Order: sequence, then structure tokens, then C-alpha cells
Amino acid sequence: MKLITAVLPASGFERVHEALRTLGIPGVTVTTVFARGVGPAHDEVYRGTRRRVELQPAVRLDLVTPDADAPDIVHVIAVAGVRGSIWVTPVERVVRIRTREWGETAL
Amino acid sequence: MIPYPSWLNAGDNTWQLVAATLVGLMSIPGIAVLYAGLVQRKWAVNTMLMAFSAFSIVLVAWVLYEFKMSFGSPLHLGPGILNSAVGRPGTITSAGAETGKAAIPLVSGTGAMPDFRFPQSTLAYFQFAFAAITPLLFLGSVIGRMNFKAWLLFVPLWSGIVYSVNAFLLWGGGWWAQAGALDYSGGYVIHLAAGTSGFVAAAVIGPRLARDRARAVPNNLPMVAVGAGILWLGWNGFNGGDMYFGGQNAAAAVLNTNLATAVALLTWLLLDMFAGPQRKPTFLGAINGMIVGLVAITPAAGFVTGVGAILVGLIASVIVWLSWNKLGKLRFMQKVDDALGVVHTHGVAGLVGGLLVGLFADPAMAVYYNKDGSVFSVAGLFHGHPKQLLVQLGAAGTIIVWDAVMTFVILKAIGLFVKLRAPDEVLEIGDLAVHDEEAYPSEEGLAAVGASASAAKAPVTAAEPVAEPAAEP
Repeated sequence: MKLITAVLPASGFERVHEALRTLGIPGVTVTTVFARGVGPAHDEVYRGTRRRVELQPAVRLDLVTPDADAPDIVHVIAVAGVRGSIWVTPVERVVRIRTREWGETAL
Repeated sequence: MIPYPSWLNAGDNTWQLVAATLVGLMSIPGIAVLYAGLVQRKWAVNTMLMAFSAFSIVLVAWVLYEFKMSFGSPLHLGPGILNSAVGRPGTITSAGAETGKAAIPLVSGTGAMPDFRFPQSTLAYFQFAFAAITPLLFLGSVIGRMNFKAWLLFVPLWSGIVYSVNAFLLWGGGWWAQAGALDYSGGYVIHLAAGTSGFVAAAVIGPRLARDRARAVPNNLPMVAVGAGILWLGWNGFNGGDMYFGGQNAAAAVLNTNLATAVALLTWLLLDMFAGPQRKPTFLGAINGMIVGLVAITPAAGFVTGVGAILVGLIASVIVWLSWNKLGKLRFMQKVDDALGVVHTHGVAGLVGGLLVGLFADPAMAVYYNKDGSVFSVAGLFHGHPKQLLVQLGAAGTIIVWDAVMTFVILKAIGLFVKLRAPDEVLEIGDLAVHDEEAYPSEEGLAAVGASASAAKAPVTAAEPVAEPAAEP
């Protein structure tokens, strides 16, 4: 099993989410985060004082998938998204608490 | 039975109470939420509580001694201006003082204005709302570091010593009123005073944490919109109430106030779009312009025509925009941490408005009518009365010097007993350190402590142990 994590600019997240839904991915966990590098740094000006915004609001998406599906999902996220990054890590164990299923059957 | 004495006019009394309430709403919630939205997230609660507590303090001081110091019989302290600079302190809590006919001893029935047609409590409450908003305005200069205890001491002392003199000199029939100085509704008494005192207070108390100054972005712009809107429309009472009668001059003052404000808002907006550092229209810029228009028309509201109001809005907005964007960026000005820029939007704007009334006051604008039907009005330099501008300058100078010196003295005196600036470790945290409250609390990770803890105790049930299968499927 693999954990796929993507950090995406908040503005581009909805397209990626839609693409994952179309693909039939059952569960994802979404966190709002601050990130550097998901978009160009920009300035905000309040009452005449300019400040650089280096950490921007972004969305972090985590989903666990069987090994075989991982490359496809990464591909879908990469195609649907515009910026941000994706990384994949191995997962040792998954439990679905309600049914107490283990491993890939819990996905 | 009759409901009220024959000197009382229900229309005038009603308008005056409505106007007073509108002015009160400008303070709470107006200024409270405007400033709370403009400050950093960690200072929103502190800002609102300072506003609400100052409003309360001033009311108590007002009925116990301050109203009489501002609008009572003069205290003769010496020759010249000292002869009529402040009133004799006294309470207004008796039945007679509350229900009797309003009077300002040096003004009522002296040919300066007609007799009042409402009771003293109406006058006192109306004028209280003005006295209360002034410390709330300069709160914007000292927010984000002033010790809360020092604030509780500073407000009554400043209000009693500084504001009452400002008000008596210009409105209570004091020396500058006798010299003919004009301040329709508080361009000097309130706004120049708030700008001056705020700037001096910011210098004496010291700056916010350097890190806070660098990162001080507003936390809630929609809340700023709510506060700003309440200010604008509340100003209908602020300027509409100051002729003390629900008559033609009140109506003209309301229209002129809105006109100058609209022009000033648009002027600032266009300056931002075509001359500003980022060449973009900004909401907070427009709000600054709005405040400048409101402040600048305040000393002039019913004394100028509609054309005068447009010019006041235009000129004041350009000058304060330059003051904000150019003068404010100079090192000398940056040394003083006037957190919300009160010295510009209130101090400079009030001064400009007060001087412009010396130019534009139009004798055709009927303030009152004489018994023979002729118009009682005032005139500025452009209408054949050049001396008016000099009088306006003199009154401004008096307010600036008195307010600056006394603000300095009062704060230094308080500083002997209480720290004016909260310690750095408190400033790092903000609201939570000062009040154990925050503007946007989170529900996550809370657990009740103390007396109510038992109510929140979750029942502990033995969870079925998760048995790991021998082998994963």
C-alpha cells in the first residue's frame, strides 16, 4: 500500500478533487495548510504598507491506495493540478475501525 | 395633566436623543469593531474591551463632574484665556439637573444661540457621546501594547483635564468661542484633539514589538466594513445634532456631511488607483478617505454650502493622502508608532477642516434666525471675513499645545504608579495573556477545568481491543 500526499494551491484543488471522484477513489483526507512553493510569492498591501506573503494557503491531500493504483492516481493528480507537489510513501498497515478490516481490504 | 413643560419641544428633544444615540453607536459598536478588525488577530479582544470600558468610564465621570467642567459656569483661574478655559466641576445627578431646562451659562440666551427646548439630561447625554468617542479614537494610536490598567487610569484623567478644556473653550462659551472660533461639531475638540493626544501618547508609551509592527495586518476586513458604515451613518447624528434643534441647519449639515464624505472616499480611491504605490483601488484606502471626509466636514458641516462641502472633502482627502503616504513614511514619523494612523485621519483631517471653515463659511447658510427674521450665520475669508482664518489657526494652536503637553504630563504621572506598556512576554501573546480570551477561539482540543469539569467528563467505556490477525489477507 502507498500513501499519496499532494500539496496543492488552494485555487487548483477543486479540479484535482473532481478528477479523483471521477476515478472512483473512495476516501481522501484534506487539510488546509500553509506552504511555500505552491505558487509565486505575492505582495499584500494594507493601508499603504506592502508586505510579502511567502507562506500561502494551500491544501494537503492524503490518500492511501493499493500499490497497483498508485501510479495512476499520481498521474491523475499531476494532470488535473497546475502547481504544487506530490510524493508517495510506503504504508505498513491500515485498519478500518468500523469493520476492523485490515490491509488492502480496508481501503 | 400635561406631559412636559411649555419650554420643551418634543421634536427638538426627540431629534436630539436620536442624534445622541447615533453618536453613541459610532463608539460602540462602530469604533470598537472598526479598530478590532484593523488590528492584528491577537489584539481584537483587547481593542474592543478598551473601547467599551472607556465608554463606560467617561459616562460616569461625565455626570459626576465633567459635564459641568465642559458646559457649566466658568472657573475664573486668571486673566485672559484662564478666565474662561474650563467650567466649575459639579454633578448633574439631581432631579432638577436631569429634568430641568438645558442651559450653557455662557452661551444660552447671550445672542449666540436660542434658548434650549429640551432638558439638561438630553444635552448631557448628547455631549457625553462626543466626550466618549474621543478617547476611543486615540485608542487607535496606542493599541497593541498599552497596559490595560494604565488605560483605565488614563481615560478619566485625560477626559477630565484635557477634553473638558477643549469643549469649554470652543463649545461651552469659553475664550475661543468668545473670540469667534468655529467648530461646528468637533473638528478641533474631538478629532484634532484625538490625533494630537494619540500621537503624543504613542510616543510616550513606546512602540509595539518590532515583530508586531512588521506583521501588523488587519484580521477582519468585513468587520471593518461594518464599523465604517456605522461611523458614516452615525455621523448624521454627530453633525446633525450640533445645532441642538431639528431645523434647517441640521438638515443641511447632514447632507453636507454625506457629500463631503462621498467626495473624500472617491478622491482617496482615485489617488490610490493613479498615484498610489501599487496603483490599485484598495478597500482600506477608501475607508481612510471616508473617515477623512467625515472628520474634515465636522467643523464646517452647517456653516458651508454644498459646494463648500465638496471642496472640503476633496482638499482634505488629498492633503491627508499625502500626509499618510509621504509624511507618514518619513523616519521622524516612523519613530512614533501611531498604530492605526490616527494622527493623519483625525489630527490632520480635523486641522484641515477647521482651517477650511475659516475660508468657506458662507453667511447665506442660516444657522438660526433673529427675532426680526434676519439670518444668524457666520462667514469665512472667501466671504469677506479674513479674520476668521486667523481665529481658526489660533484655536487649533491652543488645542494642539494643551492636548500635547497635558497628555505627556498625565501619562508620565500615571507611569510613576503603573507600567504604561505591557511587558514584552505579554505582548508576544496578546489577548490570551491579558484577558484569557481570544477573538476567534477554537473548539478543538478543549477540556473543561475547575468547577464545571464533572459535566464534561466523558464516560469511559472499555473498548474492544483491536485484535491483530495472524496474517494479513
